[in-house]
Amino acid sequence: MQTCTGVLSIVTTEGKLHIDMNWDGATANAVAVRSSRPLQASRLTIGKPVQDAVDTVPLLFSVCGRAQGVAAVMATEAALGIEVAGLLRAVRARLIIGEAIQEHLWRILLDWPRQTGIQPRVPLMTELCAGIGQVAKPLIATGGWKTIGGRPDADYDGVWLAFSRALKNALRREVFGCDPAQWLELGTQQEFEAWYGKTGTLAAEILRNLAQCARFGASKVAAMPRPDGIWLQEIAEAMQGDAAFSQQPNWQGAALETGALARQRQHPLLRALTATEGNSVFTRVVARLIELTRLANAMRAVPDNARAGWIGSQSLGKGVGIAWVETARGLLMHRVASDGSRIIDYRTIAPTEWNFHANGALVQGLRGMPAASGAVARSKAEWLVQSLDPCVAYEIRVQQA
Amino acid sequence: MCIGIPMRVLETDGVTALCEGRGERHRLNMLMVGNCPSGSWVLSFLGSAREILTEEDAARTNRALDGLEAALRGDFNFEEHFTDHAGPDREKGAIADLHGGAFHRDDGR
Repeated sequence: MQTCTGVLSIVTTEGKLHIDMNWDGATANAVAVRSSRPLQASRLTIGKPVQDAVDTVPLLFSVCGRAQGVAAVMATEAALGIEVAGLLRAVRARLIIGEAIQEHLWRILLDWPRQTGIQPRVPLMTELCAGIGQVAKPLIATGGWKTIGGRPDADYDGVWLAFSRALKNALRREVFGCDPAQWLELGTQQEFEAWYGKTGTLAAEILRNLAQCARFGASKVAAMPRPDGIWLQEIAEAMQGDAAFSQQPNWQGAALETGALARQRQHPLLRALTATEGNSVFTRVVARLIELTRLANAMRAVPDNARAGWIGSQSLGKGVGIAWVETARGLLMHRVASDGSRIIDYRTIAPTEWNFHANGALVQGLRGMPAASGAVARSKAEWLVQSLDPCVAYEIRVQQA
Repeated sequence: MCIGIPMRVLETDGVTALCEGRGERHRLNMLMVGNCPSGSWVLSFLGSAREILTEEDAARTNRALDGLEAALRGDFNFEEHFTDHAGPDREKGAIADLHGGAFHRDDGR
């Protein structure tokens, strides 16, 4: 038995993902995922006054607190039939996008370099995080962003645009070695390979490494569509029923993949990569780079952010509302039922529940994966887990037959 | 769901710090928050200090997590854990089964 603890966790509160598999001498099989996370923690809010509930949720899930807070407040507003100003929606979208950028930067500047034996870019990460902090500070100053029917805080486009310039400069200088907008134009695999083959900056260095060792892990798990229309309606109805649905969400019986690849899959390069190697680890890494670059380019004035498609909500009838927020890891959904003043039901689905579903992208990607040894199987599993980026610590155990 | 844990810095070497929070001690990577003096509060997530917290932020987060842990033990009391606001009459049953996730095994067929 080989055990690999992915990252430290304080198990009693956070729980973790337990990933077990067998290595039969040639491939991985008998893959199982078990979660010891407190998945229904949002139910703590039941019975609370609605604003207290909205204030509690970001405290429980503090690492993605903006996404959780925005999902909570928007689902509650939808439940109560409260319309808010377009500017407030725009401010919320801006906070969400800032949080997503920070998470993508964490993977790209710190985690992937560490995993590929490259020096992590700590000073750059620190500088850019400070920039995101400056953008967020005026937007969260009076708490309007998470107040039901609240007023937006002051609009500081100048700070946002300055950060956008700083981010694009950093991407050009240290990540891509060319203008990020130009980099996004690399539409064919040949152009893409030529670029990372001859460029000395961080992203190219990581991709050169991963091109050799990360072209595995693809599965038939479909990409999650945009959360609207009939899809959103069906998921909202399923959330209302059995509470177990939120722990093992599916659409028409099948798990879906959520995250950067699902959102950016129409980019020409990702279409080409998925056509040849599917949703491999390598394809997912490229998707994150594309998404970060698109977010950096999309950071214009506030009204543009409102249209960015990163947040949304819908009333599901009297007293019930659903909100969704895109995060770096994928789609987060909150469904709230209220009697008008207090919460009577609260359910959530985090992206990890889709990607680490019992028959989801991780499990299907690992099942039948060739590996020359148990140690190789474990190392590949580690990369596959990282490419799907769970929001909780994990442990991989490989049983050798 | 990204549950972060408030931890207080006990001793630091600038790169990592021995931190204590919620009854446990761990050495955290401090690269993202810089050199924090002993006694500072940080938000811990997956082995790294993610941000610096004020003492008040840490206390509010800890109180919410106390509620979560009490619920996991089955003895959640709304009044005790959310004392900022008047609590409603609520039933313990409503927060039953907070821990999700049955064991799922794929037989590989």
